[in-house]
Amino acid sequence: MTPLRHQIEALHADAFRWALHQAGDRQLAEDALQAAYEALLSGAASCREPEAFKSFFFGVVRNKVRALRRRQTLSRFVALDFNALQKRPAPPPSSSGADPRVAAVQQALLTLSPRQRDLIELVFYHELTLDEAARTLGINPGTARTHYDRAKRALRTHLDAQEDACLSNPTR
Amino acid sequence: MSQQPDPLKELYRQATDEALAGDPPDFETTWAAASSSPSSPGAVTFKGLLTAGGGPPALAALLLIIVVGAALLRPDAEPPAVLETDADAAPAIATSPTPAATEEEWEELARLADDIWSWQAPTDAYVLDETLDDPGGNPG
Repeated sequence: MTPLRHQIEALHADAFRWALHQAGDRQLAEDALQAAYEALLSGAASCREPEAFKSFFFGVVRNKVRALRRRQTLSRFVALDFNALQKRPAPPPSSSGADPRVAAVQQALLTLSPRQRDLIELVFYHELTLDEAARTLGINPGTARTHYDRAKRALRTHLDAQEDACLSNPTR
Repeated sequence: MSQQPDPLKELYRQATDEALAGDPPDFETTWAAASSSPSSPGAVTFKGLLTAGGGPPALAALLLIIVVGAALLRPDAEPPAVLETDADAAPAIATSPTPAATEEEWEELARLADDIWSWQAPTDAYVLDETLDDPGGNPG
């Protein structure tokens, strides 16, 4: 097994989740993942810093999702499929009956910008540092920190408001 | 760095697990497909552009190229401005009217030039004569 294959296989599940987070569509995420693997195999994308492979790899996946989405959008536009163009990734399913704080977080995520959601996903779930997340998204680390702080504040504000509502109306 | 688990992170995982925690595609299958594919699925080839979703715009662009090309290359099109240089024009002047012109043709040309000159001279003389020689002339 080559080192590259070993590295990719170890990150396969996380990379798919990241692709799904970017694409909002399972088929698009699978295509993007395969395209990313091809880019790495062919040498079209090569990592200069082995210690930063994860953030590099996630950046490649993100670029592939964006490229495929642009192509998909163009195809739909040409085919005058305006209904498909208006489709947006489905909002996360509300977990009724579960922890109300989880539902509050789901609602709060809908209010975040795509970049803020990307940063929260990379830091909260994939355990990247802010510098690594910034490298993945191709943005300045300072910009990443600003967006991350705002996103976290928005989530906390939403949660606090939800808890206040629960306290003032315990029957809910 | 704090080692305390962040409750917000845990809530986030729970909130997104349902939407994002689906089973990933089989790694071996994806890896084999990526290894065997000559080009990525996102690669836009010319044939693919013409036959897939990008067909109409690609055909429109091709048609535009043909129309513009035909307009530029039509037989009666004026020669490009870059040919109108002194270097190109000089041989044409030196051999004018043609290299094969005979002596008679040159004489004809000279005669025409004389005619033009001689036509202007008597006209001036006529106006001058009429004014000075017969100032009070009344034909009636």
